[in-house]
Amino acid sequence: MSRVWSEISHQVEQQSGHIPLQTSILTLVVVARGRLEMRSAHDVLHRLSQQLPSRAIIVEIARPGTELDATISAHCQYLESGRAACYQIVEIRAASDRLQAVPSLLVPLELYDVPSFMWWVGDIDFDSPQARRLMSSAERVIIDSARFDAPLEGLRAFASYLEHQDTSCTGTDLNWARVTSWRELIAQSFDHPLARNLFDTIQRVDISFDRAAEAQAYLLAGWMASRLNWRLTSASRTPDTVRLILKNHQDGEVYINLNLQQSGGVGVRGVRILAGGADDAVRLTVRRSSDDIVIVSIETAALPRQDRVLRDTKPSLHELIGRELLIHTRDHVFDESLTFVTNVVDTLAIASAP
Amino acid sequence: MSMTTRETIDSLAGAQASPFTNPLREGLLIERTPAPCTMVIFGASGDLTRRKLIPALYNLALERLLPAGFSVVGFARQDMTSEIFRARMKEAVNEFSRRSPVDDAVWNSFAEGLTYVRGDFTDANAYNNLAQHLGVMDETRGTLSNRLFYLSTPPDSYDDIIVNLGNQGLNIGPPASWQRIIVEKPFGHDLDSARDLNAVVNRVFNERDVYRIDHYLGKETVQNIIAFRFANGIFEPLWNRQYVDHVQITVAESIGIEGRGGYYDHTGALRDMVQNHLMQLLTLVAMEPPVELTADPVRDEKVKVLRAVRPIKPDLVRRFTVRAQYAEGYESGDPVPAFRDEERIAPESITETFVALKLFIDNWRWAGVPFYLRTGKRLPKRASEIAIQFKRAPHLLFPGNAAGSMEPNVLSLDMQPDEGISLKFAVKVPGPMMNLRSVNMGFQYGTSFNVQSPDAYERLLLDAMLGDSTLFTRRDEVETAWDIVTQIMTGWEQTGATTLPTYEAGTWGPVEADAFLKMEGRQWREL
Repeated sequence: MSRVWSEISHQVEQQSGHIPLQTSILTLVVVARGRLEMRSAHDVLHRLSQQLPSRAIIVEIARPGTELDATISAHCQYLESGRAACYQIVEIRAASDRLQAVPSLLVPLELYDVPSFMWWVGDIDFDSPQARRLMSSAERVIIDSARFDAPLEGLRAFASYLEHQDTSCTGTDLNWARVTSWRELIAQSFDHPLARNLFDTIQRVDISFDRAAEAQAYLLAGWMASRLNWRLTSASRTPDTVRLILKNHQDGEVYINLNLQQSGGVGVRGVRILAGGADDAVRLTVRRSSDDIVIVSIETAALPRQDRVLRDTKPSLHELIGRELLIHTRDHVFDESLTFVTNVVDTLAIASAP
Repeated sequence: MSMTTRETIDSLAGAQASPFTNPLREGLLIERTPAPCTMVIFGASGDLTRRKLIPALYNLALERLLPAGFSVVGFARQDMTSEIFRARMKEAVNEFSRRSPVDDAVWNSFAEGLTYVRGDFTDANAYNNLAQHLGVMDETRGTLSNRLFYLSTPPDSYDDIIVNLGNQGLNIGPPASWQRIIVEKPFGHDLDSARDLNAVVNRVFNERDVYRIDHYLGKETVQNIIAFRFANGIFEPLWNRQYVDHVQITVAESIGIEGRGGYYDHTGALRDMVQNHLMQLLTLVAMEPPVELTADPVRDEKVKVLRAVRPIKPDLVRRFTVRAQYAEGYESGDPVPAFRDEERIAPESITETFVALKLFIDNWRWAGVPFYLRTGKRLPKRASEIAIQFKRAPHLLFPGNAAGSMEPNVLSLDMQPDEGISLKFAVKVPGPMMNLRSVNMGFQYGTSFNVQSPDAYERLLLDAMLGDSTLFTRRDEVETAWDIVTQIMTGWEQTGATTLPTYEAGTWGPVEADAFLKMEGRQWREL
């Protein structure tokens, strides 16, 4: 690795006059399977290198019987300032039935004294001992439940893994990162002086979502419920709606409706919150008006309706991962939201049992 | 459901009096949004509004940091409709925003709140019109009587504007609302005028509602001085007279006076740069850790530094200061005129375009450590840096020729043009001999966090709306800095000089500045 780095440093210095600076922020282990996932991994790493210069190790899960193989490369790209951002990639190809050997390779390759993240590009079999062993070598595991065949079941299995594994490994889901913008806008809505004291008076929350974003809607509901200390008392499902009944800390009832939309998008479409009493009712709305515009509104009887028109471009995969890589410690807000999602999934399963 | 807007505002008094914690904000990295408000810009037809203020506000809108109903009222003498004002501001955003071209959807929403009121700063009726206009904004946009007044005018209009705001009652509002004023530098031109201005401001506005803006403090790298010093345990034990030989603070500009001859000839580098920007850097690098990172604890510590600066009495200015003017020379290969040949500069002007100072901070931490400050126009490049030069090792083990090219350890906090931090230390050159060489270990923001820093005005305007004055200068801070600078100006006047030393434009200053350090066995850093 040192020789590869030395050679590329020399080349960059000759071309630009600057020795490339090597800043180590983290090690990112990427686990990918198949050509599409590998392409996705390389694309993300290339884009991430500008933001978080680091060492990346790609573990390609190959067909059984494939020989263990590894390659090393270093990459630099010039920034506007003329300086070069560089990163190193180690690629390990291991057969799916030989994954248990991989952690012993990872440890010496990971950068010393910086956090180690593991991003699984595709679906994960959480019951597989090999996958569990591989995950246990990371400090933080990033999954993407949007790529799972059954996202809610996958989240439930992930929650179970995080709860029962015996290392200090923490986790997150890119679907959680996809609702960050919604969380920010909802939280900001309560900064308004007319909304500040309304948390205990929220009566109803409606979350509408596209079919592919069911897990996002559940996580968003889980986030509100866990942050505001709401307890789930019942859950029921119709073809287009999941209806949750909860109790706030004063034992008041709160309704959350998760409404499936027949639109063709892949995200949350809108959130409407009703709060206040008969004399001071307030309606807070965050709704997507087009692919990249959201409108945040506050409606009260006393003031004119106030709208904020905001740009909300769908974040790319590397931006989502970049955001999650900034969180080094346990994200207990995510953990508690995930626990709520698990609770809802279990309650719905019981309700629908014959 | 029948409350009026006024009743609504009154009813908020109790709600805002108690500290507010938003449980949904936990774990999120976004700043809270301020309460709905109107920003009134006096001098809205001027350059600062076009180049900095409106682009900064628009960028805040893009970053989703402006509140619902946020409004801007431009106020100036020039005859202009709100439509024309909006069109001009859109052009300005396209030209000067770091996020151009304009995003039409966001701009259209932002521009709904942009209006213009024509008025003379001395005309009481104009303020009556303004008050009525603001009342309409409260009713139609729900701005809750929250006002942020911005003085973006020549300083000679400050008194009129402030007094008229007071006469019209625009400095007060319902209990839950706030009325704040941002005052642009210069805050006076000497100690007496600064005190007079502060007296006028404080007759109308409570000091906690006064935001004296020095845009330098809004720069990300200047704020990083605080992070670097107080978030890293390894430097603090070295940050004192026992280990530091001296400190150099340089703010170099390659530009000249850029058509501001009339202003600059009455100002000079000492007033224009040292009293504010360099003094701010001095306080941040020299202050003790504040008890918490909030407005008054931070500013208390900064003021303590300024109070500990040993005054340069008038009879000592020759020993502790160097001033000079640029002569003709070259900038980026182009010939440039001498300062005295610039437009609107008096031919016999003795206004300094370069100043170097030696200051001592008489406290336990810094006793005996010189702080060298220098700033100037028409220097070879734009560069800002704070360099902490450490004392040499007490005993060198190495033979003279081995240590020949070894320099003292220097920790450099770079602010412009490349933001970063570097540390110089000695290493052995590979080979059989014990040869030593100094090398730099560098950290560059640009290659580590490829994130575009917000403009200083974005941060400062948002802070003012949020009521956080940490990055603004307090009355006593301004007056103490002026006290230091005014004594130097008095000393310069008493010398009776009719000419100043000169330096060729495009060089690092006059030979006198080099000699100033050389006689102490030191030299200016080459940036």
